[in-house]
Order: sequence, then C-alpha cells, then structure tokens
Amino acid sequence: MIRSSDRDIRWLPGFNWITLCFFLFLYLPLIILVVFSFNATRSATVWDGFSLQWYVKAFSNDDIQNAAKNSLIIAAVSTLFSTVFATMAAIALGRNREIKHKTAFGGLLLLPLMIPEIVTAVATLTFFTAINLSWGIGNIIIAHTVFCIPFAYLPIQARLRGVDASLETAARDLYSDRRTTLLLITLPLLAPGIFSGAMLAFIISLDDFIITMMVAEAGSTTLPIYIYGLVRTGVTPEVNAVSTVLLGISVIAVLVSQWFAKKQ
Amino acid sequence: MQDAITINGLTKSYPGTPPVRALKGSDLSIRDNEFFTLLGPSGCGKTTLLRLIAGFEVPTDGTLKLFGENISKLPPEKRPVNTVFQHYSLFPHMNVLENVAYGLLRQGKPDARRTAQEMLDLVHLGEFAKRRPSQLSGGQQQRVALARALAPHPRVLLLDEPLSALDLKLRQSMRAELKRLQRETGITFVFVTHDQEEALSMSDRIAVMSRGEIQQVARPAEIYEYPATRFVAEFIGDANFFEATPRMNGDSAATYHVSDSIRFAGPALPANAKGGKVTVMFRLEKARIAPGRADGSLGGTISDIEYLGSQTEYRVTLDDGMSVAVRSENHQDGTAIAEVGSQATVEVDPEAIRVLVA
Repeated sequence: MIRSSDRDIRWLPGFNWITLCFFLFLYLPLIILVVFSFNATRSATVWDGFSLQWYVKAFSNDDIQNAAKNSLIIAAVSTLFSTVFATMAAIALGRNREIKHKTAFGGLLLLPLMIPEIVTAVATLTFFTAINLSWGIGNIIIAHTVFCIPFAYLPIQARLRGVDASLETAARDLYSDRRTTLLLITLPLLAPGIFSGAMLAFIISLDDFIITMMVAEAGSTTLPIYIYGLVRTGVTPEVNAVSTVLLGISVIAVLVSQWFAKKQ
Repeated sequence: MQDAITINGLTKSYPGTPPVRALKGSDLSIRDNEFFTLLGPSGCGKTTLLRLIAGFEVPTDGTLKLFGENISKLPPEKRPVNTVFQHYSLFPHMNVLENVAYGLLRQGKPDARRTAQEMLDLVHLGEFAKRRPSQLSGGQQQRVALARALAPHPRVLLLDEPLSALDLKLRQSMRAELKRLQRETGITFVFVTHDQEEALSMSDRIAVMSRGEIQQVARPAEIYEYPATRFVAEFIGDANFFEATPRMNGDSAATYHVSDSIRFAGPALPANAKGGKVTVMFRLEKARIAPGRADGSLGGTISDIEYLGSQTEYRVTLDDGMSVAVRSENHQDGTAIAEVGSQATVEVDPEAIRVLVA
C-alpha cells in the first residue's frame, strides 16, 4: 500500500536518521563540554561528581581574567562603532534618493561576508604593518569594527525595509526637520533591528579567532586565542569552564535580542 | 479674496530616458475655504501635484504660491499645509493621542495634548486616545489621520485618496464626515481621487487631469453637463460619441451630420472650432427610447438590454451599424419597453447635444 505521505518529500526514507545525526553531531559535543566543566576531577571523559572548582580556578587565573577583559572591551567597543556605521549605511542606502549606484554600494558592504576570513586576516595584518599601526587592542578594535559592519547591517537593513517611508514623509509634513524625523520616527522604529544587529556584532566579535590571531600583538590576547593556547596542551575542564561561560554569554545575547524583538 | 493656492507653469519631470513628465506646466487657482478635488486616472499627475503642494517633491519649473507667498522652495516642515495619506501613515510606536499631538508639539504650541484631545473628540474618537493605531479599524485609523492633519490647523489640508482603502458603506459615510469637517474648520481642502462619484458629490470645484495636464476646472455639474474635452466626457459619466460634420443653421444652431441617415440638431459650433469634423456627444440618460419606428427618426434594432435597478440601459444598433446607448428611469416596475431584436426609436433634444472640439 502506498500512502500519500510516502511521496511527501519530508518523508523520504532516511530523513529521520539524517535529522537525528545532525542534532547529535551539533549538540552532543556542546552538552559534553558543558557537563564536564562541572566534573570533580581532571578527566574529560570520566564523570567523578559535581564541582565548581574549574570555574573558581578559571576566574582566579590572571591570564584568563586579562583575556576575558580584552575580549569584552573589544567586543563592546567594536559593537558600538560597527552598529553606528551600519545604521548610517542602512539609512543612507535605504532612504537617500540622491545616492547613485545603491545596489553596488550595498553589495560591496556585504561582500566581506563572502571573502574567506583568512584572506581578510592576512590583508589586514599587512595593511596595519604597512601603515605602522601599533595601538595594542586598538588594532583589534579597528579590525573587528570593520568586519562586524556587514553583520550589524543585515538586520538593520531588513528592518528599515519594513518601515514605511511614508511615515517619515508624514513626520516632515507635521513640522519635523530631517534631524527630528530621524530621532523621533526612523530610529525608534529601527530600534529592534539596531538591537539585533548589535547583538550579532557582539557575538561575532567575541568569538572571532582568525583575524584576531593575526592582528593581536603581545598583551592583547582575547579569550578564543587563550583557549586555543590551552587546548594545545590538552583539553582540561578549565577550558571547558571558560568555553561554557563564552557559550552562556552568546545564548544570553540571543535570548535578550529575541525578547526585545518580541516586545516591539 | 486671495486664493489659497496659485500655481503657474508648474512642471515636474523625473529623470529617465526620455524623462517622465508627470506634470506639464500647469496653471491653477484654488480658492480659500474651498473643497477642491483633483480627479483623474492613475498616472495623470494628480498625486504629483498634491506632493508638490505638500513639499515632498521639488518642482522642475514654475511657481507655487500659498496665499500669495511663493513656497516653491520651502521644505515640507516649513509649509502650513498638512496631508492625510492614502494609507494613513500613523506612527505605530505612538498612541492615538501622541499621533494627533505630534504636529502641535513640533510647532511648540502650548496645550498640545488638550488640543489633540479636542480634535479626537471632533472625529468621535475621544475614548480611543490611549490605544495604539494597530488596535483600531481602518475607518477609525482614517479619522485619526484626519485629526492628526487638522490638529495644527493648517491653511490647506491635502487628502491623497483617503477613502480608497475603506469599504463602500464606510466610504459613503466618510464623504459626509469630510464635508462636515471642511465646513466646521473652514480650512481649504484639496482632495485627490480617481473616483468620479466621490469627486462629484463632495467638491465645490473639480480639476480633471490627464497625462500631466489639467483638462478642465469647474463645478461638478458643469464638468458633467458641459465637459470641455472628450477625455473629460469619457472619464466622467457615460455618453455616446459621434464624429460629425457641422452645417450651420443661422447663428445659434447647427446640424451635425454623422452619416447619410444619422444627423443631430444641436447648438452652434463653438467659437474655437477649427473647421472640419467635430465630436458630438450626449449623455445616456438625456436620450429617450420608444418602441417601433417612424420615418426620418433615429432608430434601429435593440441589441442589448441591461437592467440596472433604478435605470434600464438599452443598446440600439442603428441602420448603418453604429451603436447608441440610452438609459431610462424605471418609474414603474422596470419592465423593458421592448425586447431584444425589436425595432426602437431614439430621440435626443438639441439642448442635450454637446459639441467637443478637443
């Protein structure tokens, strides 16, 4: 007997197994990592009881503290700058009738998403060396700001498309100059997109490895680079603990961003 | 009295190859305290003209005066003119009262909130002040948009097809409401629509537009009864049109020969006629239809009968193949005067004949 559901693409044979494998390979390692960060002994494979000792150890480690501080400063500052630039770009390309070649500019803005990161990394390093730029974590902030702009730009531009331009026309009609219209109409309506863009930029910056690795000078180690250094001498529950904290920050950022989007 | 709006040679072109001429050097005066309508099909330039008056578009050429003052170069926020938008464009992140108070607050008027509340009461939405626009029905949003545009007491109110998104019953009651508001506020209304019924029923005067040009400016009855061009005659109401050669009968009358068997007695040829053929027309309801034929009369075979409720429309195929339509009032029970395929006579009084040269 052939049931109609047999011909439904969602019910191709093996589809369930593929789905199961996907979730296993994606989430099982994460779950193991989180679970063993609470392990009582050094083992990363045998469970010996619950303990917070690796968190205590990690948080009292000066190197980790420094790396975490660097990561947060870099992520916060480059999020601020990239979101501001991305918002300006989105408004300019979405609303200014006098700008020509908007499609080309929009494409150029998003192109970095498709350039292999290692290429950007090498190019940025070469460029910074050539202009003799040596501002410590300032170098990383500049690099991060630049590559976070397209990520911040995407949700802002999407949101702006959903904002009817006639609302801004209506505000102008009701005695608001360009600046007042931007402050009272465009930006408030754009806020959910700006917020999502900022969260995305923050996570991307916090988690970046390749570009940071190239650009970072001595003393400006970030968390991902520090974790990489630790892993080379073997995976310890301490690494698991730091990684879990990083994971936690990302999850919280996503939840806050979704909650904010829903509230609007 | 000074005119509310005076435009001279106002032109708007959009870049392109060739450039799109949305408005071609128009002249127009809109009187103070007038309900004025810009009527025409989509793409005729009526919305462009409205946006030029509001300041959303910059004219390519020509001048625009508001109560004698040239405002062609002023940005929209400096013009004492407000707009009711086609899709209302209420600010979704503000409540109804904040929406209505918006313009007053930007002008720095004292008591903005109290005035806004009064405006809401005027459109019967006083108790909805704290709601969000999305919580209101289309008709209510429409009235909030009206209150918001009227609250700063503009010298001219512009309305961009404000009724087109409403259903039929609501549209009809809003017509009366708009006329009432115009009378009570004493503000000049400039109303844009493609709906002839709306235009005829609400306006003090109408400007009919086509392809970026103003075809005729007149009172509704004059637009309907004495259309200036063929476009106006065709766009508003229904009429029969014939190409005809005029023969003058003295100074005040003429006969218009359409073919050997069809001729209409009508008024004298207009002074601006250039000679040659002209177009004669008459409205469907100005002609009468009777069963049977008489020699020398205009007549033929009834080819179609359409019952329209208050009227019945007859289509008569004349002897030489031309066709004429007649509408007659259904005073009794609406039974047709004759059946399809039977002979009928069509009578048109000379007073009902109009001669169009353009």
